[in-house]
Amino acid sequence: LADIGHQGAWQLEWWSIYTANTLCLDDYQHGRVFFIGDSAHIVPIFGVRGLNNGLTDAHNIGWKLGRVLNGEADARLLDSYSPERRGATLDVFANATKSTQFMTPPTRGWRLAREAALSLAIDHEFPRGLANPRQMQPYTYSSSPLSRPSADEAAFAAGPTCGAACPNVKFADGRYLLDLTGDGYSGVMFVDRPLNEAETELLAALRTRDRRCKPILIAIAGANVPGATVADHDGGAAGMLGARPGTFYLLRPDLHVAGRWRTFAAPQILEALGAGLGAPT
Amino acid sequence: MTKLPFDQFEQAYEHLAQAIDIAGPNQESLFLAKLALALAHQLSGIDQFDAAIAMALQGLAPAEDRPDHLAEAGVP
Repeated sequence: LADIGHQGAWQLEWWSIYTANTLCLDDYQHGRVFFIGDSAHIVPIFGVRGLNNGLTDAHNIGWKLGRVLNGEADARLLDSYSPERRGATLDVFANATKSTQFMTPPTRGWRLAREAALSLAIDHEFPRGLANPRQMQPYTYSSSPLSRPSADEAAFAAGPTCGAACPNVKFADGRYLLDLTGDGYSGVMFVDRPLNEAETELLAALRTRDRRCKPILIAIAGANVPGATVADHDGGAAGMLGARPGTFYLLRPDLHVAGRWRTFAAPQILEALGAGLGAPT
Repeated sequence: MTKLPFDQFEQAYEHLAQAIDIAGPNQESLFLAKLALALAHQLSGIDQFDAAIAMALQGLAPAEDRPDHLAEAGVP
């Protein structure tokens, strides 16, 4: 109190002992009951995404329940909720353990190492990452049953991998890629000419499988494509997504990548959409 | 790993002794920990650092108030 300039009398009114806990359920699904937020996982208060992950849990089970209850997806789709969101929790735990150890060093050794790192960090960049709570990155659903990495995944030099959150891209006309998506799956295709028959058929088939599916045709820089959704005049989208003419991204309703193909591959794209709606594998 | 020629290693020994005196008894631990992190940042792999830690711990008597988690982790 003296440190903040208070010299007068004082009286303790409230105190608590906070215990940092890092706990989660083994499975976020028990029959027809789904656990979200603090009912599924509790994390320390040190900048760990407890609330944010609760909201993402709700978003994840929300669109899946909506599709299943409306008869637009198989109930198997719901089985992907627990592995996806529990995976995100465990990822957060690993980072939370690091930030908790940094903020409340458990022993003399941890404390001295932290003091050394902080002292160096005043003048140097290299130790500063140790103080990073590393909770800003969205989790990648790479081992989700909904994520089907395509055979040419390795051919991509850039862009979000299968299961990753799709980055937003601002086009030259001021619009953003993710604003062009709908409330179902989205088929993002880079084109340098009008669609051929096979491509038109695929888009129709996607629409038959998911009536909410929205095609987004991105005209490659320099190409004049009548009917394209948007033109990538400065090549920013192609660069960010590692795309060339014919590259196709299938985006989930939560804007994670369900699959991506460097070259157009109709059967695999349709199969990925089926898997994304709970079709048997 | 390229080894420092002996004459330069000897200089390192002397500079270390002088720097410990500059830091003084109240800050020598902090100084030595900073030095270790600064050197670690210049290494090309964690194995070199772990080997140096093992070398430096060799022959030291265990701390009396050694945290339990080390014993649990199987550290001798």
